[in-house]
Amino acid sequence: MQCYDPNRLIDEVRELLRERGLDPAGSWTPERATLATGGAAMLLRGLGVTPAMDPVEGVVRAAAEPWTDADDRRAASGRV
Amino acid sequence: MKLLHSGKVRDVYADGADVILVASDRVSVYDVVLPTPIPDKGKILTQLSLWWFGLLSDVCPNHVISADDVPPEWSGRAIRCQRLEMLQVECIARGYLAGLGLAEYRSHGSVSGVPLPGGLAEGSQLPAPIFTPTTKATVGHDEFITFADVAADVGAEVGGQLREITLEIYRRGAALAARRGIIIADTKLEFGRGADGTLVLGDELLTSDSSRFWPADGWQPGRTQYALDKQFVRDWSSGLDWDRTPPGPPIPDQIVEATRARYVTVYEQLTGLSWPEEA
Repeated sequence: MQCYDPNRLIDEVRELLRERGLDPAGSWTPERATLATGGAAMLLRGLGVTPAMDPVEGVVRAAAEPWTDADDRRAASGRV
Repeated sequence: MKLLHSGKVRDVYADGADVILVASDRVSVYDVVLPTPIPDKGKILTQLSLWWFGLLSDVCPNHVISADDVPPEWSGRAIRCQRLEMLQVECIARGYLAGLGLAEYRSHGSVSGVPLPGGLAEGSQLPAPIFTPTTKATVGHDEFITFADVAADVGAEVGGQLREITLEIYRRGAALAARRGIIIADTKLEFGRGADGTLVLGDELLTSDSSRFWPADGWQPGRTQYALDKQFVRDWSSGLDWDRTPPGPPIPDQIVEATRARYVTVYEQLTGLSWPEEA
């Protein structure tokens, strides 16, 4: 199974675009982030590669904090 | 053994091809880790997670390799796990309105694109559990996404599997807990792919760090619900002259002991097992 991290692909594409003289997403918005992440995942799947996070990064992110804390914080920040 | 990350309440180590998740006794309240540990909290939540993994293993394979093959100093609080290629979707099931689900409902009348009836209040039970995934973007913040977004990310078939497995685990866990006097309001699951591509359940399972546990006999929609385990800490800290930013205040001994006892009670109530005090 071939896997690749969509977030890494986004970073690499941003760097490529900069090299080509573009200024990709100078300001990230939640909508852009979601769109880019979804788009990267679709591109990978279209190329026959499974979109998945690096195992270490994936488990580290999962274990970073209690989910209940994160959910409460997102609610308090009004980011919906 | 290499420390990969020290989180708010859990640490992650690499050991060859495996990872070892170690649950500490650290406790957070209002998003701040307090300086005083709650003795055995890490062991209790680890044992609870293992219990659920075993009970629900027919729903989905999980990443647990061993709870015994860990360094002795972490005995009881560590799990040796498979390394998974983690899907970048947090799979959340909500049966009641709280947290971000409540905030989104108040803003949009829906959560993750799932329309909900009007008139629901904080703590209300939903007509049926709903799947409310979030994306794990490295830029920006984790965001609610719709099922269509999940399908675009991982494919419609896998997206459908994630939704079904998440809701099935929530339904079975919540039903069992309800019979034992505990409401599991919501929960967050993480999935990855094993070496053969199989979907595998990772992280922790149905603990009070990954789920909201409320006492069924105190449930009352229309107000903030009591957290079943760390409410003592919340109540005590809310009476302090503390602005809820780090550093948090040390916890007095009697609050520590009462909170520990509550964690034990929740474990025993859910599992029907006695917590071994020498653990």
